Amino acid sequence: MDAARRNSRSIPTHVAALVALLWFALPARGADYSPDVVKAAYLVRFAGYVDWPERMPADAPFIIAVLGSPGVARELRHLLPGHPVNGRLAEVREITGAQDLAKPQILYVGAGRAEYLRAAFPATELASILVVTDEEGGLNAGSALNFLTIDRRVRFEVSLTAADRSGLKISSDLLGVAVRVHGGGRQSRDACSPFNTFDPGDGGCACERLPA
Amino acid sequence: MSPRKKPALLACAVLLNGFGAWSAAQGGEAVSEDITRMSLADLANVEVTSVSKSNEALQGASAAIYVISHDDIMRSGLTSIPDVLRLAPNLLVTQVSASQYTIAARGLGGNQPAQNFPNKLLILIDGRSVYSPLFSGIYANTIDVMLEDVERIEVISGVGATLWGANAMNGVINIITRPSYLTPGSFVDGGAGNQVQSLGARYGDRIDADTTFRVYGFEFHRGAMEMGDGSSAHDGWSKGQGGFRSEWSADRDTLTVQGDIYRGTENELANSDGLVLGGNMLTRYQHHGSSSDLQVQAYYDQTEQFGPGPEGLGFVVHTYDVELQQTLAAGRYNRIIWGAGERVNSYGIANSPTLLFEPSHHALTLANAFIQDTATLAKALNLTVGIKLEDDPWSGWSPLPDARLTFSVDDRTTVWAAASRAIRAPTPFDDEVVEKIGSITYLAANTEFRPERVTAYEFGVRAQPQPGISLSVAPFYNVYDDLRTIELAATPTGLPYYWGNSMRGDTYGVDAWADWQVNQWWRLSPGFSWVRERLAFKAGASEILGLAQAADDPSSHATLTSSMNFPHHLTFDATARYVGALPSPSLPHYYDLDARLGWQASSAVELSLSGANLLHARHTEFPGDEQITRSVFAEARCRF
Repeated sequence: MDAARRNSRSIPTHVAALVALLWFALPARGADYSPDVVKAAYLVRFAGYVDWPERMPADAPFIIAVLGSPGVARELRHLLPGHPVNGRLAEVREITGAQDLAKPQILYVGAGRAEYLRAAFPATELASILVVTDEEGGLNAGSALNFLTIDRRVRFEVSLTAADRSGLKISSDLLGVAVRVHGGGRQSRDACSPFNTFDPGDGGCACERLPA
Repeated sequence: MSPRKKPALLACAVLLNGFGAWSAAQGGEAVSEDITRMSLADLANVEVTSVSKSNEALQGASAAIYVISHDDIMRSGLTSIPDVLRLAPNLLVTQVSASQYTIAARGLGGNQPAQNFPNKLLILIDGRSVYSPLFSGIYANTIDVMLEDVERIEVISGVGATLWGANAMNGVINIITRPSYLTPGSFVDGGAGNQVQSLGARYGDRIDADTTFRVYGFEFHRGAMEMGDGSSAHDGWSKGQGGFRSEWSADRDTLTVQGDIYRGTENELANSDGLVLGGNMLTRYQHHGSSSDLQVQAYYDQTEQFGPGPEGLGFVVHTYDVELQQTLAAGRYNRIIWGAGERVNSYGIANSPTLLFEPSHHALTLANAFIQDTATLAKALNLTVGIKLEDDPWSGWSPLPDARLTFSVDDRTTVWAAASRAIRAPTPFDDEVVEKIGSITYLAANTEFRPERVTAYEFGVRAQPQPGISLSVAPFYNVYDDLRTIELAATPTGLPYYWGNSMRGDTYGVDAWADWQVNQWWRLSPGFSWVRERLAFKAGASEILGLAQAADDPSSHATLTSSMNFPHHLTFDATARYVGALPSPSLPHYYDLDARLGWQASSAVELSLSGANLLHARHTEFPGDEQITRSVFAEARCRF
C-alpha cells in the first residue's frame, strides 16, 4: 500500500524535477525570433524587389507606414537607423487612419485591420503604395502582399492584380518565394530589374538570385 | 528527494538561472544584426515563436472564441480530434469509451442514464455540419481529420451567432483545414504506443498556376479501456480514412472541392463488431468582389453506424445541403451579411425490438435564412444586429434574433456584450422514438415536442495588459425553457412515458483563459470554466428522474498548458486538466496530465515521445465501470 502511494507520487515529482533542471540548466534560447521582427525584416527586404512608378527626389526619405501594429513599428524603429533602403534613409511612421497617410512607399496593415483598410482608404489614396496586410484573406482588402504564418514560419502571398492597380512592378524573384501568387497582371514573369541589395556595403546594383 | 539535497539544488538553480538570463541578454542584440542580413528565402525559413493566442484578427469578435492553433495540435502529442478538443478551456470533453466522448460547453451536458445526451453544440468541419440530426449529439468516432492539415479549430462557447446554423445552443466548434495550396509536398506520420498505433500520409502538389490539390490517408487502432476489475472493456476500435482537397483560384474566385471516406470497426462485445462508415463531398465557391463577397457551398454527407450483435441499432443518414452567403458594404459604416440554406436529412433506421423509430425511414428538411448588419456607431464602437429564421421539422419557423456590441477601449482592450436566442430543434429521437421492454411500450413518440429554447446574455473582456500577456474573460447568463423531460401518459399506469418540455431554468458562469509568455522559451496558458445551474420543473411535470436528468455536470473545470522550447530543437509541452465532481450519477473530481517531448532531428524528420493520462495508472471520467489507462506513444513525422 505504502509502496504504491510512494510510486504514484514519484512520477509528478520526477517530472517537476526534470523541468526545474532543464529550466535552470539550459540558457534561454536567444535565436527564436518574434513574428514582428521577421515581418519588419520582410518589409525592408520587399523594397528591393518592387519598382515604384514615380521617381522620388534623391534626398527624399523612404517611408514605411504602419497601421495598427505597435509591435512591427517598434521592430522597424530598431532596424532602420543606419540601414538605407533603396539608397535612401528610411523611416517608419505609425498612422491611425487615412488622414495620416501622406504618401509612404510601403503601408503595413496589422492583423485585424484589413477590413478597416478596405472601408476607410479609397483606392486612389493607395496608388503607388505597396500595401501589405497580415491576416487570412487579407488580399481581399486590395493589398498586394499578405503575410501568412504557416508552421511557425512567416510566409506571404502576392496579388499581382493589386500590384498592377497600384502601378507597382514586382520582381519574379519575390514571386518565387511567395506561397501563392494571384493573377497574371501585365507583368512579365521573367523580368528582373536591377535593385540594391540590403547590405549597405555593396555600392552597386545586383539582382538577388535565390537558390533553385 | 532528501531534505539535504534541496538547498544545494536551489543554489545551483539560482546560479544557472543567472547565467541563463545573462546569455539571453547577450543574445538579444545579436538577433537584430542577424536578421538584417537574411535574404527573402532565409526569412521564409526562420522559425518564429508562436503567435500570441490573442489572435489580433479576433480582437473585434464579440463572442468567447478560443482558437486551437495548428501549432498547439502538433505540439500536444494528441492523436484524435476529441482529445485535441480538450485543449480548449471552454469545452468539457469526457471520454466514455475507447471511441466515444461527450463534448459540452457551458453546462447542460446531458445525463446518459436518463437518455439525455449532450446535444447542444454545433460542430462543423470546413463548413459541413457533423452533429447527428437523429438526436442532436455528436458521434465522436466520425469527426476525425488529418491533424497535420488542420489550420485551426475555433471553439465558441455561447449561443452561435446568427451566422452559424442550427443547434448552436451552447456553442460552436469549427474545425478548419488548410487550403491545398498551403499543404504542398509529402508528409508521412507513424506512431506506436501501448494504446494507440497509427500511420498516415499526405501528398500535395500544384497542377498548374491556378490549381492545387492534396490527397491523404490514415489509419489507427485504439486499444480498449479497462473495467474496474482490470478486465478489458472490449471496446477497442480501428479506423481507416482517406480523402482529398483541391483548390482552383483565379484572381477573385476560388473553387474548393474536398471529400473524405472512412470506415471503422469496434469490438464492443468479445465476439462481434460494431461498424461506422461514411463519406462526404463538398464544393465551395467564393467570389471576392470590390465591395462584396459571395460564397456558395453544397455538400453531400453519408454516415452509417451499426451496433454489434442482433440487438444493435443500425442507421444510415444521407445529408444534402446547399447554402449561400453574401457579405456587402452598405455605405461607409455598415456591413451586411445575409444568406439562406436548405438541408435534407434522409435516414433509415434498422429498428431493434427494444428501440424503434416510427417511421423508420424518413426525410427531414431544414431551411434557414438570415440577415445581419454590423454598424460602426462611433470610432471604436460596433453594433451587430441580426436575425435568423429557421424552419425545422415538426416545429416550423422559429425567429432567432441576435444583438452584439463591441467596444475597443484602446489598442489592446476590447469589451463586448451580446444577447441572443437559439433553439435545439426536435429530432427523430424526440418525436419518433419508441422504446419497449418485451411487448410493453414504455416510451412513445411525441410529435408535439417543442424545441428547447435558450436566451443568452453574454459579456466579455479581451485584453493585452502587457506585451506577452493576454487574457479573455467571458461571463454569461442563459435562460432556458422547454427542456426535455420524461412525462407520464394520462393512463392508469402512466405508461407509455413520452418526452415533454417541462423543465426550465437558468445557468450562469464564466469562461476565462489567459496566455502568458513567461520568457523567450516558455509559455503558460491557463484556462478555467465555471457554471452554476438552477433548474426547475414547470407546473404539471411528472418529475420522474428528477432535475438531475437534465445534466450531470461538474461545476468547474480547468486546464493549464505549458510550452517550452529548448536548444537543439527540443520542445516540451504538457497540459494538466482538472474536472470537478459530477453530482448525479456521482463521480469524484479528477485531474490528470498529458505531455510530449519533441525533437526536430532534421529539417525533414521530427520525433516525439508523448504520454496521456500520466498521473494515474487508471482513472474514470464518466460514471460507470470503464477506466482510462495511462498511455505512451512514440511518433515520427517526416516532411519532404
